[in-house]
Amino acid sequence: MAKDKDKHVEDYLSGKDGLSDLYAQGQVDEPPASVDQTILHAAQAAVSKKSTRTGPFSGSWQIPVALAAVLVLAVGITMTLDKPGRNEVQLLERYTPATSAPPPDAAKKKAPGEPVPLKENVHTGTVTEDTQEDESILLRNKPAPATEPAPASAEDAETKPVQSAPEAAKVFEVPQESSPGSTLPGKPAADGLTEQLPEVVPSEPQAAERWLQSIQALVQQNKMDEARQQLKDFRRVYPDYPLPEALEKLLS
Amino acid sequence: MNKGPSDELLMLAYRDGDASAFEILYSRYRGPMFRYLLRQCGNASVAEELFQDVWMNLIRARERYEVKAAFSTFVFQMAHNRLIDYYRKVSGKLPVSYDDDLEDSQAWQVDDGQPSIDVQVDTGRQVERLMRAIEQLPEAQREAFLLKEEGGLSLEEIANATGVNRETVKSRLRYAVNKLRKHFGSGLD
Repeated sequence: MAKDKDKHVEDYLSGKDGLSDLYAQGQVDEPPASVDQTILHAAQAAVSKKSTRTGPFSGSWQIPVALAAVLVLAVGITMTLDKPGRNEVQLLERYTPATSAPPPDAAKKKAPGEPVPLKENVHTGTVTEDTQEDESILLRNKPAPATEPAPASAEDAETKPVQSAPEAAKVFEVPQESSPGSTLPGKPAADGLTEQLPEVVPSEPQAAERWLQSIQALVQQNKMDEARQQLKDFRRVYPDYPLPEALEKLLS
Repeated sequence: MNKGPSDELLMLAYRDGDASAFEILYSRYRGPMFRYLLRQCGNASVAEELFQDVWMNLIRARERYEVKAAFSTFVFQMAHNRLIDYYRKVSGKLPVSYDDDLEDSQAWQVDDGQPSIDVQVDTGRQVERLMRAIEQLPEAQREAFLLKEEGGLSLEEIANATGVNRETVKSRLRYAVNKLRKHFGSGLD
């Protein structure tokens, strides 16, 4: 009996009884496609998720890349700050011989140590601060050398933007005394920074006009000798500047 | 059975991040496992749920996979465990057929050598009858039969997958085969 029992199962296991062949013909049931899709998608997602955890921060590559970028930026800024205003110093050296002291209020606006790029207005002859102008603009507007002769006419005076340093000093001498509240440049400040800054020259026609106004004021005050002397000085500085008729008579 | 990389190599490749290896593996086992679960629980929607659970568990467990046995044994063991959980959830206990102390004494009274169906009937009807006969087998015997037929597992592998010893598996198969032979008699030989 036991032998019969084992014979049947041995026949089945060896495939001799045909039961497996018959069963194989009924293997038609399969999982629906939606289940296949769900499982395959989950398998794919699990692998993708795993690959993102392999970084040194067990997260993503963005973090180390961002840290590296911040580090590079910080080093760059530090190196820039270690060499303060190299370009600005070169520019100041170019401007220093031909310009006078800046106005006091202009110096007050700037914090100590802050570089002050300068731009000269070609038409008005003024030199103004403009932190957004690049060096090429500054070089293009470089003032005339100090030894250049004065313009021969009033038109030349308008197109000639900057006087030489000694002449400019003379120009500002008189108006400063006669009008204390004037915005014309005074003596440079005591601190080293302000002394190194190029001197700001006001518009030449404007300065001449003010000088003439001060002379006219002297005439009105009946200080004729003093007015005449000022007028002679004026003519020496501005030989071709048109004088008002009243002052023309005074000079003759 | 399968040409190309072995199941174990494919599973190792998937563990290491190769999703295409999983696709091959899945294509090999999707049908057998689904039919195993379908015939064991007798309900298509439940089979789909169990089937999906088994594969999801496999995906989750991929990082711990090591080749300690045939992949077929490994994956059908997962299916068996999920099925046992399902039985316990539905009825609160395992089916009686899993109690190996019970002897199916009637199993040996059926093999009288007389065919109970016409051996001349067409194959389609024979397959249909076989499936019905399989449905009537006790769960443990049916499981042993299905693991052999669908998973291609040996007695030892079925024993490992179901957590019993080899002799128990052989006994279950013996009962199953004899009950099925009762339906077909000598027509199967």
